[in-house]
Amino acid sequence: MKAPEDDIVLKLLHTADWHLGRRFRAFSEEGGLRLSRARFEVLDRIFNEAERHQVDAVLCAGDLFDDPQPTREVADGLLAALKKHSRNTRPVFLLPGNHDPAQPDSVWFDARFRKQLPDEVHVVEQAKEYALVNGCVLWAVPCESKAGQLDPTLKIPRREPGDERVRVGLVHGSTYDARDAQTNFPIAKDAVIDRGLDYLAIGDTHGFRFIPPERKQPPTVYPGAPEATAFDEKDPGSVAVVFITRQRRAMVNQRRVAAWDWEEVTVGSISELRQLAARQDLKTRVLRLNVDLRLPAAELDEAERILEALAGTEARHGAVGVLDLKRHCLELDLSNVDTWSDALPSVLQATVAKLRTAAEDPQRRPAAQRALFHLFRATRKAG
Amino acid sequence: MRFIDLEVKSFQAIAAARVEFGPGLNVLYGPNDLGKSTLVTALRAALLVPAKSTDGDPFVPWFGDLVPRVTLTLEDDEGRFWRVTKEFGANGGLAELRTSKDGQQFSLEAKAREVDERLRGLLAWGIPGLGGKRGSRGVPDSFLVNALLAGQTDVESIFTSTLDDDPTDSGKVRLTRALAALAQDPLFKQVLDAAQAEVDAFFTSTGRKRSGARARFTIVGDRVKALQDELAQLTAELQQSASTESTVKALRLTAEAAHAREVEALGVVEAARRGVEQSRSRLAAEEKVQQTRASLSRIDEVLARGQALAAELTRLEAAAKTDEAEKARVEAMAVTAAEAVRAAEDALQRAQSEEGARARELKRATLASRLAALSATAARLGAQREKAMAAADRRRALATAEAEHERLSKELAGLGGQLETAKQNAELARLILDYGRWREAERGSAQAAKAREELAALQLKAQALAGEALLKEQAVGKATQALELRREKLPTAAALAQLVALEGDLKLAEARIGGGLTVAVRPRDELRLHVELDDEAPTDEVARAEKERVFDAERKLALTIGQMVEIEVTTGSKEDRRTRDALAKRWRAESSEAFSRAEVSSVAALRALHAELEREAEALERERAAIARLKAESTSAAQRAELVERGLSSATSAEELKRRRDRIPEAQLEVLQRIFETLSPDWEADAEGQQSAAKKTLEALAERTTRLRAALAAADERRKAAQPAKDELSQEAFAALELELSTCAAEQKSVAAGLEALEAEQGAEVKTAQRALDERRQEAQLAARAQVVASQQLEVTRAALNEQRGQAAALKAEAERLDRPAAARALQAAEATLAPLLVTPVVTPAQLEEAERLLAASHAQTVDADAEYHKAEGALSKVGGPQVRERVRALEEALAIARAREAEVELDAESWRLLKDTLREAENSESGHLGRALSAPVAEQFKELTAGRYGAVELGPGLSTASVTATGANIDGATVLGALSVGTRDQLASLLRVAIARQLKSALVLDDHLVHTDAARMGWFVEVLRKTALEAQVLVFTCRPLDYATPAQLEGPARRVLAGGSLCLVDLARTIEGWPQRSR
Repeated sequence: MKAPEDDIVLKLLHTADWHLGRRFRAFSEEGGLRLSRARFEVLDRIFNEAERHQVDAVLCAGDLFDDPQPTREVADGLLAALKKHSRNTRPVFLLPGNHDPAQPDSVWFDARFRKQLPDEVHVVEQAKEYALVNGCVLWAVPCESKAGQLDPTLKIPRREPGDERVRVGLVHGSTYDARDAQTNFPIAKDAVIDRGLDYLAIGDTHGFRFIPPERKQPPTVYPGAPEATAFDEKDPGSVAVVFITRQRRAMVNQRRVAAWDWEEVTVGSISELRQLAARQDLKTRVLRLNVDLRLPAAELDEAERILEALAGTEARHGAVGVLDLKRHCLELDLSNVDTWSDALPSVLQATVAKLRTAAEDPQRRPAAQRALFHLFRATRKAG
Repeated sequence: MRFIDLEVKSFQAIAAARVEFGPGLNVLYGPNDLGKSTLVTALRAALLVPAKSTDGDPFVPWFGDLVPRVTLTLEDDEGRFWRVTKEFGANGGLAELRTSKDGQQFSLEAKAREVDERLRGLLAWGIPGLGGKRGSRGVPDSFLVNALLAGQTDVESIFTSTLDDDPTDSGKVRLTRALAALAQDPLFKQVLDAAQAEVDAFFTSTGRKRSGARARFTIVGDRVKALQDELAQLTAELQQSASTESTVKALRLTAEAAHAREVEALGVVEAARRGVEQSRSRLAAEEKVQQTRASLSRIDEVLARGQALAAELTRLEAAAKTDEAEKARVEAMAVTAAEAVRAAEDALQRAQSEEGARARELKRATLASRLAALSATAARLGAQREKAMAAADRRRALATAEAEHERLSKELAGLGGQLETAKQNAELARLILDYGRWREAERGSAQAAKAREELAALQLKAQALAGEALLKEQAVGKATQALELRREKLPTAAALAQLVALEGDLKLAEARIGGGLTVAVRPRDELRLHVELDDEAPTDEVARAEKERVFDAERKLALTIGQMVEIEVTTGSKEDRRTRDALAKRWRAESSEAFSRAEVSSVAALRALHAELEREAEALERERAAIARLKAESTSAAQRAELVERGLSSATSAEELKRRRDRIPEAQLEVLQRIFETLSPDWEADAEGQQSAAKKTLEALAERTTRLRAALAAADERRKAAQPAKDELSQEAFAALELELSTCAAEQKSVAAGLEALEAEQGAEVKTAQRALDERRQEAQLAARAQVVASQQLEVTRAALNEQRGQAAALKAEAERLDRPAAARALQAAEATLAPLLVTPVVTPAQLEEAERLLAASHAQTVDADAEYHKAEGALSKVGGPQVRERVRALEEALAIARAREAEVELDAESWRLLKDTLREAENSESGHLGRALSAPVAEQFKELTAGRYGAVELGPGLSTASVTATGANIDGATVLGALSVGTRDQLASLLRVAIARQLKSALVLDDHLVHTDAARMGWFVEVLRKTALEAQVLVFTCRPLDYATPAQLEGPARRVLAGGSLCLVDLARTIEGWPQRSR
């Protein structure tokens, strides 16, 4: 932000893809709830960021709800956050996206919801021009269906000759070089230029990026989801703080607001697993842990205990914030079973011998390995 | 197992006896020879000897011809009561087995041989069934018979007896099970318990997966099922969404194509407009060229006229000179005429004198000579004049020929230009045609390439569809076969209906019985309850003291309270029950086969299977319809591919394309491309028309050129023919000749007149002279007039000359004003402007109008396509779009995880079951050596009994006694065993029996086995038996009751129950009724 303060005519906070009310079915019930809650918790940090930079307006570029008809609890969650951070002088623009399109039966037309919105919060029901501070204008175009094949920016009129105002666009859709039918609400990459805009605020993609990456002026920006929704998302967890000068140059600053980091880790040895367990940052991690280990019984026992500590039990929270454990490659190494079975009573030794024989049959191997491990743990526990 | 009571009648020495046993230690005492052993024999007979066997012969009463009869009531390990009654006799033997849950109400369970079959199964003592392969004659014997029911004389037989000698292994199995617990290592037991607990959490006692709401399988299975259901619903939604999106896409593409066509049509219209403008420009340029060309021609004409005027001027100047000369000559003639007048006047004067006559003669001779000379001159001049006249004719002809030649040359030159233009037009038309056809062919080639792609895609699609159809067909075939196989396992619909009806009847019958009953239990003390409600699985529970426990049942309630009593309550009338039993029997008979074939356990399951089969059959039918559709689609794709392929065959080859390209000059390509882009769709017909018109024009022009050339050649010939001869007189000379000829004629006339005058002079010389004078005067007047004429002629010539000079000066001035090079340059420029315009085709307003009409049609199509697209786009608002795709992906992921979890639970369940089974298996194989399990407690007690004198007792795998070690001795155990005293051996044998009975929790009969035991050891032994009796019933037949009870305890009634029921003393002397004939 190099421009002198008095040269800046407009400050914006641009965010999108809150997906309030999203359910995370692939995780445990508790983990899923935690992630669903995180989507509300991040709203505080977003509005605090707006306050910190004293922005003139907050642009929310679509997919704010995961569904056009969220539960009352979800809708109230947003209302509470908006009320808590309500500033009369700072308009907030809520743009319906393809997840929560502006359809008659959607939350956006729910009288109860609308009635409770603070005055400065505007729901963009249709393509419309809004006046901002210092003569700047915002052109916002909402999604009115879940699927669409027209470029929403086409509804923004081109800049008239002689119009020297700062013009900002707010739409939701996917950017592509060539329009394709499978692209939902395709946005031309040069729309910002074609429409004569000084900044095009878009939403849909969950990672922060400029479109195209090499073009910084005039910018087209995806701020990404403020909290990630999947492991494969690149650079999620931010908002864009945008300053626009008198000369109509937009300066974009990526600000991180996420509390959660999504990480995928594969451990191939017990020492790696120990190192992972020793990490101090696991509480704020959504961790997909792929365990690829073949261990002797004692180490497998240790691995199981570590995994239990990471995942938690009914009585105790796990060390990892939210864990997605892939453990199908965790197995018992049968080569040194003798080291612990020799000390067992003969009947248990006979049991071990029979299970080892069973493990030679590929069909029975997984159950036999697991049974041997149960036996090991049971004797440990008893002994 | 424990004995409840024994009733004996007419059995050897016993006439009648009835003994009721206590649950613990029973001391049945009496003096020797009372019949104690007979009671033991009767007990064995009741359990082991078939009623019709000759083995019962020894049981006949010693006194009297009566049928020996024994009735024994016992309770099995499951708490069920059995009452066996046998009357022995090879001919009239009778056997009945009754059963009861409460020990009060007995029902008949079996008769005759079946009694022994049932009993042997019940006892599991290693005795084979009757008549079986290993069945033996005589009183059956086995290790357990020997151990638990040994006769008085068989005390030591336990040492040599072994389970391995048993006819069947039922005894070994029973002992193995019982001893397994004894053999269990504590660690093993903990592991086993843990495994069993886990297995119990996963599976029911019958090995089925637990299916309760909180069962582990249910939790993960329900999750998977819920996700599958949700996914199926979403997948359907996704398909609908994709279909709508696809439709909208197609319509959007159509609309875009229509827009593109409209833009193209607009381009054509604009090109046509430009074409029209260009055509106008061309016409203007052509006009300009003609104008400049006309200007140049005018200049050339002026210049030519200038040149002609200069020649005329020269001629006039020459004529003026001639006129001047003529004037001078005429003046001279006038002078001569004046002189002749004067001479005539002189002659007249002389005529009027003599001298006149002479003078006249002389004069006549002179005049005659002069006339002759003048005639000759006139003849010469006439010839010359004739010649000159012919030359003048030729000159006129030449001028005409020249003019004609010039006109023809000009016309030919003009025709050359037209010819050139026509050639250019024809060439342009040809180039446009070649270029256009090349472009069309190229476009056709590109389209053919696309068509080939389309063809390949269509063929692939057709193959894919056919393949898919084939695969589905195979799958459907297999599924149909599988379905048929499954259908075969199920009863027919009629049979099922019958089964359903039967089940209904049965339920009705059961309902008729069922009225409901309630039993309330209020125990005084804590006790174990064994409860069976209707047909439900029995349950065990502990009822706490003073707490009321209420049981409700529909038809039947069986309640076993501790070891004390079994109560069974049933509802309904006997008739109803019989009906129900009959129906139940029929139900079992009819349903069992259907159930077993279908591997189900209820009619509901059968009906569900039926319904499932019907649904699957319907699904298969739908699948067949889908296959038919696929096949139709495949055929359609193949037909389309064939159409495309046929279209391809007409595509231009690459060689042809190149040939066409090569025909177009490289330099012209760009211009042609520009022209071509502006042409209307009917360019080819237009170009061909133009080419044809140009050709016709060319032909006409060529024909005209030929005609003109011929005319030109003819004109040329005429011109050549009219060329003046070398000696031809000039015009001036001709004029001079004319003048000379007229002068000559005049002079001739004058001379002739002189002659006549002279003639007249002969008659009237004077008169003649007068006439001559008159004539001379006349001539002089003529000459004077000629002089005037010549002067006038000169004046005219001079005036003409001056006029011509004026004209020449004006022409010169005009010629100087006219800039021919500039005019030539202007013509060149105009031609240069025209030249590029000539290559642009002429676009007519009609063509423009046609293009505009096409544009309007294209616009209408665009509007229609847009409308249709926008209408379809509205449908998008009703579909899920990418959101559904995202949710499907998320659900698939969740489902994969849930399935993994389910697999994990399955694996966990299987692994625990495997562990439990393997533990059991290992335990069984390990505990096959039963001696190891039993020797420890036996040795311990034996050591205690012998005050540590003896140590380990080694028992063989089959429980035969191998050795006993003597503490501190060096002798081997077998020797020690052989060397033991009779009493000690009896004690060891009894300890072994006691140990076995305790493990089996089975009644033990000791018939005076410890008669050789001293009092001290006897006291110890009685304690052992009392402790044993807490777990297993012990029946001691003895003649020394004081070993077991105090004298006071022996007093009182024949049967006394002491120590809280744990000790039962029976005075057999007062119980056994001997034969009357027999004296005590």
